Amino acid sequence: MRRCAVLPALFLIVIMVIAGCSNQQEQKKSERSKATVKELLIGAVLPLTGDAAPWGIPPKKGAQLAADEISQKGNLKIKIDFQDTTCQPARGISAFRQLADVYKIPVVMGAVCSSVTLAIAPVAEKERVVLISPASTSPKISSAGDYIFRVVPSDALRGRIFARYLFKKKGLRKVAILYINNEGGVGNRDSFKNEFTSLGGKVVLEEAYPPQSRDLRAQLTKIKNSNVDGVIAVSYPDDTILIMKQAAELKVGKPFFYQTEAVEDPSVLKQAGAAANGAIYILPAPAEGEAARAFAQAYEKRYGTKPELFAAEAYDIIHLVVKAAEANGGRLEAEKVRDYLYTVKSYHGVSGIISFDSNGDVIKPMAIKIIENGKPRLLEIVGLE
Amino acid sequence: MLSQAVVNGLIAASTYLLVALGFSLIYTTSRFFHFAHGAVITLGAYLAYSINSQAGVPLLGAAVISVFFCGLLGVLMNHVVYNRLLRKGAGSLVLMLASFGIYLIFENVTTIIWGASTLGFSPGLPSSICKWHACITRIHILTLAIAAVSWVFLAILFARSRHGLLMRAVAESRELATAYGIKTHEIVDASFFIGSAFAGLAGILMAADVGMTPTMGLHALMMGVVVAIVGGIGSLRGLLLASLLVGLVRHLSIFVVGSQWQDSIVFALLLVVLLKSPWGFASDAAAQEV
Amino acid sequence: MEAYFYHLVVLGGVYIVLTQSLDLISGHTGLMSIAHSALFGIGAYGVAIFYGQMHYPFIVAWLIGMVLAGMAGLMVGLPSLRLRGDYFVIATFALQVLCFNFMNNVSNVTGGTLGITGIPTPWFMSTTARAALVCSSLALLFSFIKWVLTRSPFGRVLNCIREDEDLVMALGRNPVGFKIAAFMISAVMAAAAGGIYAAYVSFVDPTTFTVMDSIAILCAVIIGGSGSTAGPVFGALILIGLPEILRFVGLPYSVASNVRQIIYGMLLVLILMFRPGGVVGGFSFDIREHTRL
Repeated sequence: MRRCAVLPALFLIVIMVIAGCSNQQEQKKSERSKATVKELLIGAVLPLTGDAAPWGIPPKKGAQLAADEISQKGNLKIKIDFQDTTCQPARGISAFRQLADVYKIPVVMGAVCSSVTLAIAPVAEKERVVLISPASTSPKISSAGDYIFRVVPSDALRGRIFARYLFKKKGLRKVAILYINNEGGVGNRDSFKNEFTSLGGKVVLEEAYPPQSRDLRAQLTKIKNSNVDGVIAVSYPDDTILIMKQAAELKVGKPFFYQTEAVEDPSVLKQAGAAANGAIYILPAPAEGEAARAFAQAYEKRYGTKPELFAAEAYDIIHLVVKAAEANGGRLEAEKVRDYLYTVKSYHGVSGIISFDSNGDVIKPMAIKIIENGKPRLLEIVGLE
Repeated sequence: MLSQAVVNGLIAASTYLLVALGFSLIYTTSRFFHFAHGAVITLGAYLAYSINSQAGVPLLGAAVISVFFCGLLGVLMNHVVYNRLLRKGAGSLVLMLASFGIYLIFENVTTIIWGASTLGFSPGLPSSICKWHACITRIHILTLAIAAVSWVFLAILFARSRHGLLMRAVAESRELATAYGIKTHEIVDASFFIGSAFAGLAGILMAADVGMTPTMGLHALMMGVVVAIVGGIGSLRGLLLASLLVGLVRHLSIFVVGSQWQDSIVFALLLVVLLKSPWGFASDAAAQEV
Repeated sequence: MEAYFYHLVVLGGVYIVLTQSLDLISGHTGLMSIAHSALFGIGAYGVAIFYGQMHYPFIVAWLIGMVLAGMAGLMVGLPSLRLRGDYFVIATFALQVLCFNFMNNVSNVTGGTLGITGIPTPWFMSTTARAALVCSSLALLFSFIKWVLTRSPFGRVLNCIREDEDLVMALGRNPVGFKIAAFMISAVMAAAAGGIYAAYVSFVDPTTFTVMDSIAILCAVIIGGSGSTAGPVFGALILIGLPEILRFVGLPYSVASNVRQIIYGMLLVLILMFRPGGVVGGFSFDIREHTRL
């Protein structure tokens, strides 16, 4: 038994040595980046691994594309240091601290998961680092602080616009809400319900299901037998497939309205197939015009797929940050970036038309789309008006 | 509405039963909770998917091959990990912890190979048959039938065959069975093979119904474990009753309390059974000693 | 650089308290529990609710959290009067699921899935250096308390329960009281860690207190070495350190988290196979189990 102690100890020492070496390399890299004047180092904290990775990897790709494009133009060289949060608050803080404290980076893109953004926000405030999220939609982030921005609309905005649209244009009066029982699902449920009931509509049923469910037949059966005009679903891609297929099997016979962009996920369109037809959903309005088309082409050329969720938002973040730096004589300073972002009005980005309100929340028009013959079709663009 | 809910409950019960049958078969001969069973469920589905779509074998053939491989995988786990641990005198807790580790390895390898998003055998609109206000698909009918046949198969195996007799002997006491000249290792291997094959079968049927994800096995296993304990491990009649009970409770409780408590109710039921009579409501002499 | 290092010290300290407290019941009393992150969560929610929302002094909220967790620890311990070994693990699992669902669903108390944000940082943790100092001294303190406890007559009875419960009864001691006491002490320690964690992160939500976190804590104890003082420390350091080390190594993103979990899984299986007492070489759950069956 005693002899065996050597093995694990050796194993650990080897790991630590490897870690130490790569650590030093990283540090050298960052020192070098400080040496050249025209190089900008931007941080990013994203869930690059784990369950939320499908939402973390596209922003990484989008941001990298933006950085390389700007670097090619010559004036500035953009480098992005990506760190993994795994969608866990404590890990997120580790990642953020590494960027903010170890590498002294003044602007960090992230996070994706709202819980991580909320956990990082107080640290960012205290360390005076600008935090710009490409994907966190929790209404609570609005009041998270002065240095906290996002280019994705809050769930509060989405729910309000969707409720108004369905009440006025679709004539819904009594609805059921079927939602994933996590922070995103509940946030969307509340924002929809508040607006819908204040308009005079009624939420008859609220059915929850836990993440990673494989059986929603109980919830759907209850909905089938309720007297509602339509069903509002807040779901992730895996369970969107489940809702579509099982609702068809059970012949629920009510129109489904998805308050989520998950419907456009390739796996949903493939796996749900014809069961997806007729699904109406809301998402931030896609940008039109030359820049957006060029982005989509460049993205597809480089990565072989159409831009996935939140890739365009990350692309816009990098561009906005660089614009802020250029306005400041090519230097990246947190206060200057923050002040610049508050002045941004109707910036035509590739993720839509971006303006920030006094909370650092983006105000964007939203799009209502429908799936027809397995393909998304735009119904209309709606704003808050 | 009630008829549909009952049908839903029965469909759920049939998958729980398939998982619980394999799980408790392995428990009866080897006396520990084999959580890596969940990994076998998942792998059954993914293997069948790959054999079907990549190697081009028809689905039925792919399913048979996959189920066979799942059986082998169970035996392999037993030989590579559990037997070695047993030889060093490991107890049931150590084996259970090791099975956690194996599960973790397999789930993540599955994610690396096949990706995290849903895959399926039959994308698209499912066709269902409706009668008396209840709808059911062909896959569901098949699942119900296979669960019933599997249960009868095990019942006959245990009650009538010599092999079943040996398994029961090993379940009673491994040491005593060895002393009587029974090759206990072979019997345990056989139970791992049959149990894991059931797991693979359950995984394939679930995937044919709603598609597969790398975490599908874990949830299925949780329900299977609840059924196995509530039913009383080792008692076939208990397992049948418990799977019906858990399936119906899951699908009927939603009409009484909010759906966010669906899981809580099942686990509260488990807790009550554990505290009131740890060997489940269909007691079995071997389990009572635990 | 310092703040990042201090942050890791904070997390390490919190997890050392968690693994030490779990080891008191799993390693020393022989009752493995996978409800520990629920107890950790009760402490965190205690501070979040009573300090963050109701603005009681931190110490008061911290103590309330510990008292609540102590009662919850009693609940976790109760099944141990009837169940042993793996059946007891399943019972704690059920309790963990119920507790998670409570945090997740009773939103007017716990904030539900949205959690509780904006917990103010107490003065003694206002900088990361101070927080690191607080957490490392807490880890030292609780490790010391546990060391003293396990060497006291009380601890010897616990060890005796682990080895042979009937023998304890034969010696005229009632194991029930000892087991319940061990559970309550362990829960209070976990809640102490939870309260500090909530005040440090300033945000709590249910996803930090899942079954998987409980299993991770248990595995850390087993890997480090149960029934010892150094083992849990080692386990907690591996749990916190491994992802950070892998962060610097820079694995391809598509597989990094899976590789990390595979390493955990392999580490667990290999330790059980080749070094059942854990890295440090503590108590191993071996053949004794069988004599009970």
